[in-house]
Amino acid sequence: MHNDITDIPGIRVGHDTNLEAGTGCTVILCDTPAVGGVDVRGGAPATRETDLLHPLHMVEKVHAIVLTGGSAFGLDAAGGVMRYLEEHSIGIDVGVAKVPIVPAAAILDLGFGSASVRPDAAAGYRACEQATAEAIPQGNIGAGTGATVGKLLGPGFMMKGGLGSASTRMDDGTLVGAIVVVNALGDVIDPQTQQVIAGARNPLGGFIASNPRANGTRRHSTGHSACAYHV
Amino acid sequence: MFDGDTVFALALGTVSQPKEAATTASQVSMIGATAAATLARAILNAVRNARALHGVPAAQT
Repeated sequence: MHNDITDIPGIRVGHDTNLEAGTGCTVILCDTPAVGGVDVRGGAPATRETDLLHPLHMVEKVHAIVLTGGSAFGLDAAGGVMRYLEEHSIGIDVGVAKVPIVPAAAILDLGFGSASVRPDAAAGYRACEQATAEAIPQGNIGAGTGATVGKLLGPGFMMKGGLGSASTRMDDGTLVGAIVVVNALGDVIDPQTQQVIAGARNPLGGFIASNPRANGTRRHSTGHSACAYHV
Repeated sequence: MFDGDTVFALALGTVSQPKEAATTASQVSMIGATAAATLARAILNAVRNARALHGVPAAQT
């Protein structure tokens, strides 16, 4: 186990990263179709193919998830993933074609690096070509490239967010993995130490939130994530 | 109003067995709790692995 989502058999992850423009995209490929669900919170989501994941709707399985920068523009990356999957004959058979099901969500990272360069379909396709079941790089990679946290005082006092992953093996052998893009408006707090790990910096040093609530349950926008479990 | 958080969940597996409803419900609860804890660790890994870029410092800085 390398403590990331690729510990889940059947999950491969690929990235396309543009450090100069400060953006990128990440694809989570399911080697066998996975039962999918979604929860969208907040007043400003940028998503694609989420409605079909409703439990009462017809389609039960997804073939990939795309997490991307570029705000709503970056959702184009999902089209490149669909092209890759179609080339590999992966998708729901509707008789005349196989339609890949690729839900996606985008973070708003236009203010970081270039505002005019966003992940496109070609970027999504390249991410698929890079997909691997090996340990995945984390931080400034893929959809996490342009992610930032602690934006309450504006861009001059924010810190770098990024892409992260982890996995857990439960006592009954079930494997649970998570991959997340952390693009929080607020601060990231270590629940064990109750200390701010990354967040809005105090111009006088340290963080503006030097005294988080003792229960560590500060509510902050986090970003977008995908959890996978394997029984 | 200004934020959008999205969580996707994927279930894969090879085990197929009949389960009593109570067992299934508790399994969903346990897996959900584990997923939340795993996601929290992933969040910490994200910011701890980030590096300074375009003048924005990272936790590692």
